[in-house]
Amino acid sequence: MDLYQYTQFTSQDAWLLLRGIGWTVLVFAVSMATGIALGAACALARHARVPVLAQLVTGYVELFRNSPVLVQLFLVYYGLPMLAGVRLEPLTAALLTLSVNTGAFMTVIIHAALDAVPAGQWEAAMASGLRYRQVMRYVVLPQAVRTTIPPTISLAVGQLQVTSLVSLINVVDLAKVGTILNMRTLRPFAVWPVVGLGYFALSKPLSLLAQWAEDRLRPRNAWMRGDRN
Amino acid sequence: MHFHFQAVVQRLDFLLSGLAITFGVSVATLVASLVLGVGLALGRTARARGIRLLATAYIDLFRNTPFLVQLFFFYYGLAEIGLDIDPVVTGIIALSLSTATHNGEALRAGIEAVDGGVVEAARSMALSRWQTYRHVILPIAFRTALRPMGSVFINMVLTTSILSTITVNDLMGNAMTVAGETFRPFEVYVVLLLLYCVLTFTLSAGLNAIHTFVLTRGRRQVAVR
Repeated sequence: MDLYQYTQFTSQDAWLLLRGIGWTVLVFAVSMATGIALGAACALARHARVPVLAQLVTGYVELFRNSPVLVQLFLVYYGLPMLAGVRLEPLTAALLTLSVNTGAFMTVIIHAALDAVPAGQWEAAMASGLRYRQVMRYVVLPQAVRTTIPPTISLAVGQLQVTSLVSLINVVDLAKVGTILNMRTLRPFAVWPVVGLGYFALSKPLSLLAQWAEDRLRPRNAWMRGDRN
Repeated sequence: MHFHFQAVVQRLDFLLSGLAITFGVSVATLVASLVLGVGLALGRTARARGIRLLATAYIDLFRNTPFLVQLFFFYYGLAEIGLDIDPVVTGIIALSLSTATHNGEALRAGIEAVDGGVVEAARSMALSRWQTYRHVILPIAFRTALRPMGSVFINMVLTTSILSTITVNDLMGNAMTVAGETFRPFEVYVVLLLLYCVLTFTLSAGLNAIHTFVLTRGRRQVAVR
């Protein structure tokens, strides 16, 4: 097999790949940011045991964590317009779905972190005369945030890979550019490794950050490590 | 707003027939990814630096690229160089290679968590390195890794839905067909979402039962720590 047959990429293709990377980064960044905000709100509602709302949050979280992202994407992109009577742009549908999906996972992470702060901290703060809001703001959240950082970055690595699914509802992200180049050049054996390399370049730094956070931010307090005295 | 769940209910038998493929692919991938995962975990904890690097590079590669891209590479890419494999088989291969990295890392964490004293005791009882792994380290590591590997398994079952993109007629693939035929995508995908939820809830109930069984039985057989 002749090696030179793989060199038929033009500078135009490189430009296309770069734009694909741009959309991938956009979808990833927006859905992560929205997801974290949504997750924080849901986790607080669940932690405070707000009646009805807490149960709704649990239902939402279980539904989205236990079904494939692909089904969620298709439900929003093909299903919602039928229900609401409006046509959804692929990008809107993608951002909406991935934000809600990330939100479900973030709810669990943040809720677990809030739960990990021992009751003694609450009791001490309440006994000092702080209100619920103050305890949350000055005592509990600062400790909980630290716990959430490593799992959040790990989730981000996973969600970055998940963004590739938006190509299936016609968002022209990196994976979709791969499909386009695959169709045109008929050289999938060369195209997909190049696309993979693009994702790798985005993902590897995040993975290293996750590793670093795991090592560096491991809770210092004995009770957070789960040490027995 | 009018719902026509009737349209989905009429095609429910066809939809559910895809469950067989989803199930078959999941079981095949479970077995293959466990075997590969053990290999990766052993590679990651091996004494030889070359083997460690190789296993790490493999895990790095598969963890930092999307499954969709891996799948398309195996499906379209391998066909280009003359390896024409059945879509279902391609799916199982790609999914196993990807899932193995997660199983491998779970098992590696289990191996690293094994108490050094236990290993030393085994070695001083003249067990060879292989025997120590086979009879002491791996059984303990498997028990530690059981819970994380359970969630890896459930995640993998959900990921089988992506195989529908390479013409596999699993639950998701059949749902796409039904959605196209009935023009009721909302109803079809709502039902599908709930079906997958039922599937994973059933699986995690089963995994919990296995977990409890293995842990209680294990405690009676050998006094671990």
